[in-house]
Amino acid sequence: MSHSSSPTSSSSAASDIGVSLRRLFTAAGARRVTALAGLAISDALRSRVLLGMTVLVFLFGIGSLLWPADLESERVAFVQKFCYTGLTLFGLIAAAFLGGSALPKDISSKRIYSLATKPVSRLELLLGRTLGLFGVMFLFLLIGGLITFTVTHIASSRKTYKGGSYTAEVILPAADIITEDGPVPVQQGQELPVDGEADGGYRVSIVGRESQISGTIAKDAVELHERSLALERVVAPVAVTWQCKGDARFSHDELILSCPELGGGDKWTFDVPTPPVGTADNETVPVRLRFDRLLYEYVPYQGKRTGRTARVGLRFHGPNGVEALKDIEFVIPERPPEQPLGEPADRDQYEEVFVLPRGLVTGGLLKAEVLSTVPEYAPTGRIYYGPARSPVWRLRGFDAGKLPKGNQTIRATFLVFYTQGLDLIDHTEVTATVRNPATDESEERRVSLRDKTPTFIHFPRHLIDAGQGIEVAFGGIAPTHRIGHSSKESPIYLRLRPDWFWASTARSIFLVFLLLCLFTMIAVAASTMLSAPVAILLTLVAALAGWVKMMVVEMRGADVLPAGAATRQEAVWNWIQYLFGKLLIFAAPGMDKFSSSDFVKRGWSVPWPPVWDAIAYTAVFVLVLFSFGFLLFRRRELE
Amino acid sequence: MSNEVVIQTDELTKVYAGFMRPDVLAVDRLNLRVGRGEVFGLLGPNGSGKTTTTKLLLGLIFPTAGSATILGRPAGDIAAKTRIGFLPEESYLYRFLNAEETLDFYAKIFGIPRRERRRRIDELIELVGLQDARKRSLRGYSKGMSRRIGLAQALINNPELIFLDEPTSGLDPIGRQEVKRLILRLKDQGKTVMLCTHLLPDVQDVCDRVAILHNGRLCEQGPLDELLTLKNRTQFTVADITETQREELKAFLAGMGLGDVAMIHPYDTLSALFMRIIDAERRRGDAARQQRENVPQQ
Repeated sequence: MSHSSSPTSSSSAASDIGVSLRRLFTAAGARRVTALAGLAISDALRSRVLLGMTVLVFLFGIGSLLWPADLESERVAFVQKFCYTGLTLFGLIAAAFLGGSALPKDISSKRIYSLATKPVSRLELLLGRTLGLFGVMFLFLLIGGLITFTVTHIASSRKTYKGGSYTAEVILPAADIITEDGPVPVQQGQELPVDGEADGGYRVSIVGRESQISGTIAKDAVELHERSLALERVVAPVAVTWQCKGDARFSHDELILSCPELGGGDKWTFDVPTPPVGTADNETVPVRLRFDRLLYEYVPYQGKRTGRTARVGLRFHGPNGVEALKDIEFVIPERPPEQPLGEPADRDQYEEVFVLPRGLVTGGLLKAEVLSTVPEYAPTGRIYYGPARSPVWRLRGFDAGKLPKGNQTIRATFLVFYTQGLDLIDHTEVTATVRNPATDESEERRVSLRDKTPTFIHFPRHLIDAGQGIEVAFGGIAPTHRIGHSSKESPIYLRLRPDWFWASTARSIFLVFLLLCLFTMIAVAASTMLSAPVAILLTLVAALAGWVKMMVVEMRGADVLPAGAATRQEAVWNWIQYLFGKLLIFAAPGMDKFSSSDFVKRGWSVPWPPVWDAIAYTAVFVLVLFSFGFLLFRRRELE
Repeated sequence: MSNEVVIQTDELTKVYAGFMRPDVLAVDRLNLRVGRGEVFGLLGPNGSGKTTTTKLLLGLIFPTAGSATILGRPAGDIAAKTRIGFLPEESYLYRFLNAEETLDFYAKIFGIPRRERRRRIDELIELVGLQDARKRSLRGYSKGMSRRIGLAQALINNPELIFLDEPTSGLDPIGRQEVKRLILRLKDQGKTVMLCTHLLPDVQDVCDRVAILHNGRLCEQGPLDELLTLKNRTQFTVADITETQREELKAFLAGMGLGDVAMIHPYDTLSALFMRIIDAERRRGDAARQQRENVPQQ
């Protein structure tokens, strides 16, 4: 007697799958899957796992309110993070238990008999069950999200300021003020005025040595507390653009466009002279585009600090509405060992020769627009270009009497509210220089910035003891990157508009939903062949691996020896972090390739594009896992 | 009954591969033919391969060798399943649903339109006698009630072919009688019923043909009448015979040269006796109620 497995050839298997797919993509197939998904939702809603996890999220949210934050914004950030952590953690447990046990429970309880003997393909069975569990995760996050919103709202309404005697101001470097008498150089520490209120906002116009900022800041874009400082408005990231003026001239048949720097601005204008008679072939004009400087910097991206290719798009606008696009691609060499991180690197002249349509070059204004923010022109490998023009935050007027006595280290907390343009999938290392303007003493620290995450900078007491305040400048922040900040002691800070805040929260919760869908799929795929306990364990191990990966990312600084520390404790702590990071990388060398959880972190720090990345990422992984699960389940014997 | 074959197995074999223990031969080269409109009994002691055969026919498990067709399609074919009903050995259903929700869910799986669904659910709930418990969750159902709702879900699509695995287990004699009546009614409607059971009286009451399995092997197959008839014996039954007449009859038969004559009082089945008593009680109750209603109010 033959003991071989069922006589199914690969062609008949393909035919089976084809039939299943055809049946699925019909109205009746959709109805069957919907009915199965509905049943899975009803089943899971009656499960104690889901109820238990929801209660824990609630307790987590309430518990987060007990955190003794001095600053409202810190509290809000902490509460949000705490709630997201709760949602992710308990959601993962729910995903593992519900996803890993649903199918095995149906099989062991033999309920599958009455389902699988109906005209339902195994594909529909698996899909219905999976979609139902996704629905359950959605409901879980709906309730969890409501808890998060409520708790965050409570946290944001509790204003407890401490050390409220500080004021803060921002000094833009290398900028001039336009007055009625013309541009006036900015002195260090001078406040920048605004032109007065315009409709719906404050107009700002600042001309730099090489560039110009102009734009309007919506009035409701920021919420100012206490005294309104014009400088705070200047750093608001709304409708402010950099405009640069370049030189255009003809040399023989060639139009030469000269720009001071690529990376210094978003928009360029050229006053093109009338082309000489007989230029080119009447169709196109050869153009030589020169940048005196090509500005870029080494901002770590997912731990890579090697040379990358940057790709920048330029869109030319002619006087008659004619447009042309041009790609510029250049290689950024490997970082020299002596080059500090987060600082402008080599500045090379860059030249590109190409042709533009004749209609663009008819004499008069030619505009060029840098399209680096347009997705299809996103620089390859997300290179950052631009000079290290950091604003300087000055904290002054503090009451020294409130500071602790002795020569101890004072910890200042800088809370980064928003980081437009900064890709903080990874942390971004920048250099923070803390200076005492009274004594001109300064110290430099390397710090990691992450969106909405308090950044601590430690500096010695004597730097702030003079009572005139301190200045903090971040190196490595290009003008295309904008950050807002707060200090622990300062009551003056920018707060995101409420609708931005809620949108950001909703986005984060959605990203947690994607994560939970992914892990639910892992659990379901595992359960198609494994018993419930093994499938659950496997899913939890995968989640743990994701967490370890996050830790590895956090500890990636371990590649670099710890910098000098102000105190012995700090040095010891730095070395502990360094060694732990090394240990993690040694224990799990491939972990930095595994990034199932990374996008959750992305979502907490950067704008929308990562959400699309996350959706695509989740969709691909879910599809792969589902296909894998289906292939296993298709021939599983339902005993 | 037509000659159309609705179930056919050819050398159908199933071996359960053992992990660190010997393989188990559950079904051994089984050849079955079930015609349309038949009530076919698949009999055998526990572990004889009845349930395995049913699972193979329904595509829940896959054969090791041989083949099977149902309604002209390979076993497990999804299109064929639209014309099949199945009542498993135990009613494995979602216990958090009530009777209506259960039937509604399975009706949706069959794509039955909403209006038709409602009508069908009402009809089936009445058929299996669960009108009073239609809104109660299955968690609170007794074993008998679970069998009834299981039977209803098996009939939700008005199937041509119905597999009933131990349909009367857990039912009281009335329930069993009702199920047997239902099977006969299904037969009258031209449906084919495959009955897997080891309760032989049930089989005897309703089956046209039976197959007897033992250790996965087909031992006997054929029409029930043919298998049960003792062709070398003849039975007469006579009402109200006296002892003298008995003796005379015995002497007469002996005079004809017939030996091995047995004269006994035939037994009724306990089931028939039970039903007779219950029916009589019911009739008596009905009559009394009728009488009470006819007495004019003072």
